[in-house]
Amino acid sequence: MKAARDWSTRHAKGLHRLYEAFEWTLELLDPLLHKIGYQRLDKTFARLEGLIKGFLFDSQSCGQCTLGATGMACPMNCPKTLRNGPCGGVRQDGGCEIKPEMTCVWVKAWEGSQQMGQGDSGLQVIQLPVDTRLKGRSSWLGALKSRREKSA
Amino acid sequence: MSFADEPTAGENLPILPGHFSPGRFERVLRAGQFAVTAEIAPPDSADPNEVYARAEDFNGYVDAINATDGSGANCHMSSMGICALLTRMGYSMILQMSCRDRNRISMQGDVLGAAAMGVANILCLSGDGVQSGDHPEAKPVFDMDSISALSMVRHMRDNSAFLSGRSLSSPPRLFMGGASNPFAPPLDFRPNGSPKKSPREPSSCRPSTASILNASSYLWPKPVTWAFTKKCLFSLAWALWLQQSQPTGSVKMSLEYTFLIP
Repeated sequence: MKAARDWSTRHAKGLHRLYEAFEWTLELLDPLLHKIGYQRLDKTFARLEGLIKGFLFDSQSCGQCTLGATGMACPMNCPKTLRNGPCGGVRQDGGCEIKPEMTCVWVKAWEGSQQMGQGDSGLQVIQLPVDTRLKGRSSWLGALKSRREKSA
Repeated sequence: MSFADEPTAGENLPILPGHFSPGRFERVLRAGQFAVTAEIAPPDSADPNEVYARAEDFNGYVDAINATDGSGANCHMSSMGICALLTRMGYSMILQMSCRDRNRISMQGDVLGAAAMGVANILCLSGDGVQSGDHPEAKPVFDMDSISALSMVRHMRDNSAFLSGRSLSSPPRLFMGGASNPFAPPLDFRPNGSPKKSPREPSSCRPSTASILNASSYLWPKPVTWAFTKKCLFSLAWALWLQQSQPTGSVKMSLEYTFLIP
């Protein structure tokens, strides 16, 4: 939904703060979640995540969320699914080359990241190509899992 | 310019210290000279002579020829096909690799194949959307984007391995490039966004340090043949057409330039 998506990039800073608080809570709960098993929880989490992020960001549930680094604009909405910046075809009014009625995801991402006050440090992160196996899985649990694997 | 160790046509140059590729294109740029490249329009044909005829016009005038990869999402002879034909004839080629039509398995295979054929340069592009071409019903692949493709090629070259980690017995010696349009929104991001295409050190590679204008009409000081002049006029006309027909509109917009990644 365009209105919700636009609202989200306009309020990128607040939403990012909210997510950080949520992440902190998740990390607190991590021992419990790990005990129950990420695998077992994945379906429930993915559904919840899909609902929330689907409404707020038109999230495409790729399972490897970049929202925090892309100004709260989901790059998977780009018709070319470009995760590392805009293509050269963006119209002068900021419209997408392929869908002129849609504002380029990266124009939104730039606005969002300015709003977040992090300059372009997030946008400068080189995103790895998508792991298609993770589509439809929970990126929240994925983040917890990779954090646990890293510290192990 | 010519080099002292210039090999016979069809063979690559020895790789000098600090160079990545055995190609003349990198040599010319690193020597601080102005490099000239031209795009070859691939034929809608299975006849190799059409490719040779198109390439012949550039004989003696360019440092490398770009083989386009389904430009404008229209179907033509593949860039791999063009490179295969023209490397055999001794041309120095730039393989254009767009992310629109293949996934990472195919792309990595092509990188190895191209390097094995003697292609020394690669230009990684995202590619135009399928909707703008003659097969709008096709599936847009975009398994990667231009930047992750550049990182992939660099990984293959420098770490001698596939993305999966499986090692290569001989890495592809390629000079890599990307393309950028600094005149499209988000304008404030563009000058910062382009260096991202240098996966080595984002801040150190400013596009302006080694920008090459794609337009072949920048060749006037050189004596040119009529055939070549025609090509230039054609590309000029084409650029004008591009300005009017492309969504991005203004004169500046079509001045897309290519920059190189050491």
